[in-house]
Amino acid sequence: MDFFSHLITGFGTALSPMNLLYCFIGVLLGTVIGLLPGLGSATGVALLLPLTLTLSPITALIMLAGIYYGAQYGATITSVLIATPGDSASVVTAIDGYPMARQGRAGPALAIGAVSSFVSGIISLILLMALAPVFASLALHFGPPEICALIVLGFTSIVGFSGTSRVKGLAMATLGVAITTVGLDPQSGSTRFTFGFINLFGGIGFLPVVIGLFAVAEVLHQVRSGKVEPIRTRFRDMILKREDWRRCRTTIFSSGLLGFFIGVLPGAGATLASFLGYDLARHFSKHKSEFGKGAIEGVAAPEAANSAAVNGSFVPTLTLGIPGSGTTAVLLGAFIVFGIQPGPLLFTNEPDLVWGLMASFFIGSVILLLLNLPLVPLFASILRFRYELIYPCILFLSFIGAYAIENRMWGVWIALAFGIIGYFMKRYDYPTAPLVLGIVLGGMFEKTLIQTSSMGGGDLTIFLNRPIAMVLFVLAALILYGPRLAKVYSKLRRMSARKA
Amino acid sequence: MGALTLVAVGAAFSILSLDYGILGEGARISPGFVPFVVGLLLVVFGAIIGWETWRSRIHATIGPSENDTESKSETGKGAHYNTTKSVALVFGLLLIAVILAPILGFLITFSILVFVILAGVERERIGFSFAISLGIGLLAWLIFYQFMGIRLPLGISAPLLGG
Amino acid sequence: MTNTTKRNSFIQISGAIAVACALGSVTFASTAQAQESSWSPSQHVSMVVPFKPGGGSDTFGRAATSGIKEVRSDVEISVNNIVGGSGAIGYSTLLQRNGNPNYLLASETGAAIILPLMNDVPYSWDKLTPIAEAAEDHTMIIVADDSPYKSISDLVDAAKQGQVNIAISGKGSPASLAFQLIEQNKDVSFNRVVFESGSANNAALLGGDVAAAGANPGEAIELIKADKVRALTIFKDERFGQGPLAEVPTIAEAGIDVDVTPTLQFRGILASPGLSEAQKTYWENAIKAWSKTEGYKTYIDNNYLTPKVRTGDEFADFLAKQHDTIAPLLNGTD
Repeated sequence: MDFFSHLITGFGTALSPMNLLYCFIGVLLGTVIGLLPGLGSATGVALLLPLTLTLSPITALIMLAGIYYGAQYGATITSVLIATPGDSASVVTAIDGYPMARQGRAGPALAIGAVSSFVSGIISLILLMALAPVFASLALHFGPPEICALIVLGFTSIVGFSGTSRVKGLAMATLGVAITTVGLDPQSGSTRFTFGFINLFGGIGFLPVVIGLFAVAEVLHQVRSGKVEPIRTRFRDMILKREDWRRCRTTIFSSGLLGFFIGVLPGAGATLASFLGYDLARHFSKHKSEFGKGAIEGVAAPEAANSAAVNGSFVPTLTLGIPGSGTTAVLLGAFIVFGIQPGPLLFTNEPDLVWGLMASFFIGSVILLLLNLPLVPLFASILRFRYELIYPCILFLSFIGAYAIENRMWGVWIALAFGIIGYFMKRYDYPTAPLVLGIVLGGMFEKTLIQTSSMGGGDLTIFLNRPIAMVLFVLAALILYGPRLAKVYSKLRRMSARKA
Repeated sequence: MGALTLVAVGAAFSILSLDYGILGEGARISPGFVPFVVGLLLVVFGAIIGWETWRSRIHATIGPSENDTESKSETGKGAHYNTTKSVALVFGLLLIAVILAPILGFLITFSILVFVILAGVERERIGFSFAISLGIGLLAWLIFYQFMGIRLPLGISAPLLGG
Repeated sequence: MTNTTKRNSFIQISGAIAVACALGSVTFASTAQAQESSWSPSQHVSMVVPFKPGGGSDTFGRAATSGIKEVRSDVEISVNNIVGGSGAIGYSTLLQRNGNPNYLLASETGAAIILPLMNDVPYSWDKLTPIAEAAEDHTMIIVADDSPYKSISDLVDAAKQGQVNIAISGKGSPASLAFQLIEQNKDVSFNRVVFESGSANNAALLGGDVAAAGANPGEAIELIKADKVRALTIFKDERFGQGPLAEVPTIAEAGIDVDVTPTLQFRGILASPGLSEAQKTYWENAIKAWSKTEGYKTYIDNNYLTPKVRTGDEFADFLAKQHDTIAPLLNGTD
């Protein structure tokens, strides 16, 4: 009963005209920021934080949450249309979204992105509202050994992103991990592979690499292969068909739930969720061969996982004051600016604020859907322009994005370097997604491995005393060798049957 | 080529990481451990890729592989469009722009880049190219510089843009 | 479009205020403040925050920026996060702006003093211009509420018996130094597990992966209030006067007599090298003026800091003292 009264107060707060207006403005601004290459939700929230300082705390936080939501979707749009993911979580969306757009199906790709984000967002919000404390205590059982095991599980998805050659995929993922070791490691305090260059102290940033590998490399690739034709689509092809929805239904639920659980774990984040969500969908799809070439589930799955993970990351944030992602860390900073202490007592001390905020997530999701579904044909019509006119502008915006991430030219240089690397990777058929996965997971993998090692005083057998970690390792082994084992098993049975 | 690069990069990572310590006190994993292992793996994977490419080349003499058909269709296109040259051109222009950006100012340099690509590489009409580069430059200035307050390097354009 | 007009009108208004202030300060300067600086910034000022948005440095940088806007309304100033290398990139950026008074740096002990001691970076705090310290943060040692350790001596005894895991954020962080002081004083050793942030430490503590952790009051206060964690001691000369932290014994009270200077975390402003006296005085006065505002008090209270304002040479002396007490500790570790 308490739950429903809280819910009603929450919606009462969120539905006030003022808050509704700012939620709308936030979603709109967020979408615009998300559209800019390299500028994701964390940067967006941080940049626009000063604008909200004059508002009341709840209104300001609702607006910031709106920006968070909007930026996520904006990043999806550029991912699909020009293969330029705005942030790390939408990298996977480009794998199938961009081929769809090139086949003239940009409309359905964008629409399924919006719809699957919305559906899984709403489901995960209900989980967040009803069971946040339960999930929070569950999350605390994930210490360094468990997260390390989860990352190993994440690495198994490389297989699904490797394209024609599995060993090339493995090599690229390994290269990605190697790249994360460059720079000053904040934990050990030691510098690695910096050769005295101050710029290398900061390491090789993830987002500039993505801008280079995707945006710049794609432009160079198109310049070489004689440019794509402008795509003229009829309005009929812009909308989702019943068949599309039928194919994605179960994917949205399963990848969404998976995304939520991963989002709940501190530090794991939406990017890992989107990779694993995609891989889950691929494993259980009837259209396995279409993945990577424009399968609509390949857009639905990462988007569902991503937006569920965003909501999941609010679980530790709101119940414990421990941020679940980079963006919630910025939001926690905003809480403190407004004089609200995030922590275990937040639900008790500030019920209006917490429930109002969660209710505004609902409303934000609705606004996002209502705002974006009608705009889908408009966004998709960008592709009607000749590519010669678009690509110089893509380069321009990409390089500003690469600068803005860390406010220095270094990011621009990295984007340029990885632009040419990515171009040659495309040319010689090396897959880019495993490289991105390696960079996303590499740092976290090393960190948790070292933490586990020091927890055991150098003895890694403490993994054996951690049941959750062991389950995850077994799962990873099954994903890798399961199909092969099944084959061997059936062969053995046939042989024994023959003997008998 | 790619395989060789991977082997070289992997070897470099492994050798350099020896300086950072592989295992520390009580066999604790040290900062050198992950780069060392990852470097070794890169060497192995690079070698395998090299081996596979070499083998498929031999096969290619018997029957045309997928790669060959692709390159054939490219040469067909290349006849009327000298493509690899334009990639080098666009990349060269980008390189120049990145070098000049802190000196001339970021937005000005990249607006000029857009103009040069449109008018020079793509042979669009001069006026049209100018309009697009001016438009995108102004839009970027409004969004990034004015609205979002990102302090892009202004260089000598500082007095012009009121920095 | 609306944005530019808004901005223009803002500039006009702030211009008007600037004129009013200038008129006001003429009379003011001649009477009250003989020390008022002859210089004032004519260009846009960047408050460089060398860390990501959302952390302690960012919060400080943003609070100081709005504080400076409040007390010096003619100054156009904004926050600029120049992130990377645990702060090294931001500090080096300032080093390259030799003699440029339009760059300020939101600084703290970790990147200003500890990092140059541990690594070969091109900067050190004494190459930059110390402007002012604005606040001080302290280190506490916390355990989970259901922990068997009721005091520091319990923890020390346990470490004599066997392996005790502790969470710290970064090798050489103030919390790591705090544990090191205990180790030296009591001749024990703790098993360090290094996490990336205070909140990751908290998560490890609550999940039972470590026995104790280092934390700032601001990082732990809500968990303490909710009876999730307990603070065993605080590295501070005197206890907090009031509030939930008033019961926490100081490290001296816990029976360990050490100089707490290495474990302090100052929050202050550094500027580029080679500033003139007038430029230094201008920024020193601005920080002093900020420290008298309501906004400053809110910042201190929200983050459970200790107000402490030191400017110029006094600040430089403190930095030197902290440098000299930390250096031997770090040399001892490797």
